[in-house]
This record gives sequence, structure tokens and C-alpha cells, in this order.
Amino acid sequence: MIPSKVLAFLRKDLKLEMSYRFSFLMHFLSIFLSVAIFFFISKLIGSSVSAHLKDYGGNYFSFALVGIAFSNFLGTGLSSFSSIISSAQSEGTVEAMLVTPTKVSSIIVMASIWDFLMTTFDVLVYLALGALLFGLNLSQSNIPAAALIIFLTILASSGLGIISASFIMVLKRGDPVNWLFGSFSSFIGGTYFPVTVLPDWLQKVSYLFPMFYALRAMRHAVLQGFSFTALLPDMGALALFSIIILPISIIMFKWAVKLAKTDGSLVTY
Amino acid sequence: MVYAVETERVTKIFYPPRGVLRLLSKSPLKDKLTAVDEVTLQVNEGEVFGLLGPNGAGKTTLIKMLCTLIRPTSGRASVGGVDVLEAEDAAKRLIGLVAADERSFYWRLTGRENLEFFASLYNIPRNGLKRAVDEVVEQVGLSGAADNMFYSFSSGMKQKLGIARALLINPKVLFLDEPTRSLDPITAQNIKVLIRKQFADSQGRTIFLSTHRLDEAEQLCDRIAIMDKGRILFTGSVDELRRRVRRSERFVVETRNFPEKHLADVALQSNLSNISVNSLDGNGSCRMEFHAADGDDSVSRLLSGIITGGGSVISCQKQDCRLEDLFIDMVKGGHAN
Repeated sequence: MIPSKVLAFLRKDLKLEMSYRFSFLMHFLSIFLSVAIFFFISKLIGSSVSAHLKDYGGNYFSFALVGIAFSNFLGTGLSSFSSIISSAQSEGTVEAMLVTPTKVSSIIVMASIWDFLMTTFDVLVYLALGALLFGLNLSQSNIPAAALIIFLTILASSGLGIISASFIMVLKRGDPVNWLFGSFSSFIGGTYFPVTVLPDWLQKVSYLFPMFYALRAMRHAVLQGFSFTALLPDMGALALFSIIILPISIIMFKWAVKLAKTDGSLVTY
Repeated sequence: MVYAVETERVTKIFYPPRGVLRLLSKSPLKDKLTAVDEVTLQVNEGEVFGLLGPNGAGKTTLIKMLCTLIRPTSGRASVGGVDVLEAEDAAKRLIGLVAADERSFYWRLTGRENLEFFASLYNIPRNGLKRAVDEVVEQVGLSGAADNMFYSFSSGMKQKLGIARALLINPKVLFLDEPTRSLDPITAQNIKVLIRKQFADSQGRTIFLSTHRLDEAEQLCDRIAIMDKGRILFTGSVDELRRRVRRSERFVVETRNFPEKHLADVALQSNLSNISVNSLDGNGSCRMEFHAADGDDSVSRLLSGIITGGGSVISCQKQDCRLEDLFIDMVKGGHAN
């Protein structure tokens, strides 16, 4: 039954996405521009930052491209669940879904699969454009390790995303988790620059964010082909985040749904 | 005996947010609001039951509690003998809800695509999904339009699609929240025929509907409950309502050669109530409406007073008691049975 529901969500989302074809096209144009911008920034700064990037192969374009591409997974994990709830509340479909025998937690997980698939597609486009047009070297990539890191990243960020959805369920707008782990971790997590350029105390703060471990591991796996053993500490950290955050997120989400059903605000936005 | 719908002292009190939530969210509530107040109801299987009340009476809140979308503050509610709080998932398998909100579909999908999506959420197996959708589309008369985009649907078609979705699960109880709201009279009549003739009379479904339109309740319902300020004021048939509330008869008298002011004076002297006098030509021709207590001679006294005062009575008619009047009497009086 679950696979057919997942298929139903995917079919629905594909049809909705395809009904906005121009937006689909603009999205890929934005990716191209983003890749090109970082290519030329990289040319501008040349080898002056190589010392800071030696752990990642020394090239800023590769560093930034992998950071931007893979931080999308964290962004999707963080925001997908809450945006599904917000959209369903504003579209008016939430009540129709919640009166069915499908659990609300299953609904938001199944509804998020499309977002994760689209993110995967985006990441592949980033890497393909980088490799084909701008000389990104992926010859050493450890693809199975990268896949495992993506999986662990999705788990850890989904836990945070479900907590964020709990806030949206109750407060409707303004969710501190998404702000903290979304906006702040793109500054502190090493998306655009290595955390080694930050002051020592801020570097220590970055260790509290899954993005730091996810991007470091991903760069090592994709750009330098690190083995599973070498990647184990970062993967372990991501797994630990998931083990701690996921159960908390599920408890919080159940509490939020109960609260929304109690105050009658399940469908308000 | 297992009722199709049963509530026992169901109460819903909405409280303004407390503690941290009060700081973080804005609520329209300044004080607690009792939306549903100790409502006890039993609806029999196969019955069309109407919940009537003015806006804000608590009808939608009660329906949402029965459909598991809002948690009651206290009391017990069940559908088909299944407690909606203790066995929410089992209860949902017995419920079809047609909400008042017509936005509850994906506007850029076709009617059929929408139904196929919701059918999956209703656990309808993939191999039976197309047939199930075809059946409900046929039942509501949307076969020719089901492949059109939802945004191109008229209000009536949207409402029919909402009914089709609720039927997908073959529900034991079909809940309809103001099913003809915002529909033109012809479309509203089509929907009412569908509800009464097809779902109730032919298929024998239990139907629980809310409305603030009394003519609709009279056309559709076997029994009604009148609700106001969260409380049930009356439960029974429309005829029982008439017998219970009617204590006076309504009359219309047309006169000639008798000034408006004199007519009002005579009416007051004749012990009539709810008097309304309108001059028809400004020259002594009037139309007067009033209520007279059942069985007394006040109307005779009025007519006699007009004639002895030099006026003529053109007509005097006793009116059928309008359901709207009964409803207003009931709500204003707050009578409870």
C-alpha cells in the first residue's frame, strides 16, 4: 500500500511541476548561472586561497560547487516538511488529506520524496555542468560513500525539518529551527568557505551543525575519493545527529498535531 | 443498539493560547469559547440527519470532531460504534467528509487526477483505483467533465467532485458541511436530489449534514437538530418542530377606507402580536400582518373593530407557519428539549 501511495504523491507532484514548465526551465538556468558565477570568482581569486583549501584539493571552484550543490540536501531536509504543511494549509487540501486513514506523519514524509528527488536531480545538474563546461574533476569520486553521506545527511536534516514542521503546525509562520539550521549553518557550516577561516570559537560552534560534517565528508568523498574508513568520523557524527534528533522530532510532531487538533487550527495558516 | 453517529455530552472549548504560545502566536480568542456544549445526539443507520443553526452555532466544529479533525474537550463521540478519539484510524475508514471549503483540491490537476490521488490515501488498491474513481464520478454525474482541469470547474462541479471524493471510501456515514452553500438554486436542487434520492433513498446511506437553510433541511432530512451557541435546542422531525414551537397563527388582512393608525390601534386593542401595518396607496388601503393566539377570538374582534369603525375588509388569510419563523422562535427563545 505504501509504494502505491508514494507513487500517487510522485505522480501528483510531477504533474503539478510540469504544469509550470517555464518555472522549471528558469530553475535550471539559475543553476547554470550559479555554477558560472563561482567559476569566475574562482578564476579571480586564483591560487591565493589554496592554503585554506589544501584539505579539499586546493581548488575554490570545486570546493564551492560541491558545497552549494550538496547543501541543497540539507536545505530540502530542513524546509520541505514545513513547506508541505504550509502549502497544504493555504491550498486547503490539508483537511481532505487528514480525514483519510493515512497518518499525517506518513503524508508529510511521502510528500517530501518529490523534493528530495528534485534536489538529487539539481545536484546532478550542478556536477554535470561543472564537469562538462567548467573543468570540475570528479575522476576520483567515491560514489557509494557519497550516496551513504547523502542518506545520512537527509536523515539528520529531516529530523530538524520535522521539528521545524512542528513549529509551523502550531505557530503557522516563523520557525526558529529553520532559521538557525538553515540561514546560520550556511554561514558557519562551510558552504562557501572552509570553516578554518573563521575565528577559533566560531569554528567550535560549527561542530554543532550537521552541515559541517556533511559538507566536509562530501568534499572528501567526491573531490578526493576518501575511503569509507577515512570518512567514518564524519559519517558517525551525522549518524549520531540522526539518532538524537529523529526520535525528538517524531515526539514533537505528534505533540504539535495533537495541539493543532485541540485548538482547532489544523487547517488555518 | 449501534447508532451510525452517537455523541454523549460532547463539549469543545477553545482556549486562547497560554504561556509561551501566547507570546509567539496571535489568537482571535481573548477568552475561552465554548463552541460545542454537552451535545448528546443519536443518528440511526440510513437516516438523513440535519444539523441546523445560525452561523457560529458550532455545527462545523461538531462535524470536525466527528471526523477526527478536532479533539473534543470532553465527552464521547462515535461513528458506526467506533470511538473517534480512541480508534481514530478505524473511525476514518467509516467517514466521508464533504467540507464547505471548495479549495480542497489541486487546481492544476484534472478532476480524475485529484480523485486518483485521494483514492490512494484512502488505501484503495492500485488495481481497483480506476474503477473506484469511475464509479464515483458516474454517481455524481461528472463523467463528461472529470478529465477537465479542476480550475475550470464551476462551483457546482467542485461540490460534486467533493462528494465523489467522500464516496471513494464507500463511507458508512457521509458528512456534508453546508452542501449547497454558494450554489445557484438549480445546482443546489441537483445536489439535494443527489443526496436524498440517490444516496439516502437508493443506497440507504446515513447522511449527516449541516445547513442554516431550513427549506433545505425540510426537503432532505428525516430528523433535524437545532443548534445555537453550541447547544442543541431541539431534536426531532420538522413536523415535531412545528408542533412544539407553534403557539400562534399568522394572519394577513387587507383593508380599505381605514387609516393606517386606526388599524394599528384596533389591532392592539384586539390583543394581537407581531403587528406590521403597511399603507398600500396612502389613501386608507392597508395590508396588516399579525399573530393571533391559537383558539381565541382576537381576529373576530379585529374584523369587527374595522367594520364598526367604517372600514372594509378586502381579505383575511391565515398563513402557513413558516419554518424560518419556527427556527427564529426556537433560537431566540433558547428552548431546549
